[in-house]
Amino acid sequence: MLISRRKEGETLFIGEDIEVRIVSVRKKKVIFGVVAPKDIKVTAARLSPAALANTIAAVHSVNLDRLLPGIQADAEKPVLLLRTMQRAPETSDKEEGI
Amino acid sequence: MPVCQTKFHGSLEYEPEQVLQIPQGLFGFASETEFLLLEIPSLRPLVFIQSTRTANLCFLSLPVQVVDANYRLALREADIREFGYSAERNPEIGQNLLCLTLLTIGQKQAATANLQAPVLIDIERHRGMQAIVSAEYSHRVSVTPERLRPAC
Repeated sequence: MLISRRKEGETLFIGEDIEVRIVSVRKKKVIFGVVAPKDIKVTAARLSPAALANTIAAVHSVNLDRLLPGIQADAEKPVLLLRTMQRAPETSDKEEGI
Repeated sequence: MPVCQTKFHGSLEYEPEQVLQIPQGLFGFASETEFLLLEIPSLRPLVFIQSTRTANLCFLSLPVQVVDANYRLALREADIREFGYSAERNPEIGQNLLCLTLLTIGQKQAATANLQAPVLIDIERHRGMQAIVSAEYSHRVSVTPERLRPAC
């Protein structure tokens, strides 16, 4: 986690196009603005506990080798669990020949 | 054949019919609705839940029974309906319904499994849903590596 000190009026950039502006600091409240491209959803809500748990799970999956030391996930070809369902042969009204 | 860039296994070809649809997405990942379920034979029973859209998004999971042999799938009625089941036809973990628990592997602590919000997968319809169960299960149940090793 990046922890940074900023004064009123100062800004912080996340990547090249997300800007966080500290508008004002009053006692225990910080008012800040976020300037981000339209396709980035900015919400004030905190993540629900379930969403937080998933986010941590997703980020930490890189630690796979801590769970099973010495494994090489890319050494073996993965098997797709949902097999291709057999499709019914297409029926045709057209008769062959003649 | 479409190709999926995966987090752990490089690029992988798949049939569109092999995609798991999770129309509501997973909690916190509402826009991720298509996944592939992958298994590495030597790592069974571990299941990789790989997003087809985002290469870097892959969850590690285990069938819930591996973590808790007596796991009771206590779903809310609204979730049961949402998943296309009914009171008469309750979803039960078995041949046609896979119930996976998502794993979190800490840097220092042991791995934990989220038994509170399992991912249900209807094998026949290739449809999935994540639900919060009504029973008192923790979202941080310790999983030891022994649990992951297939019984010899």
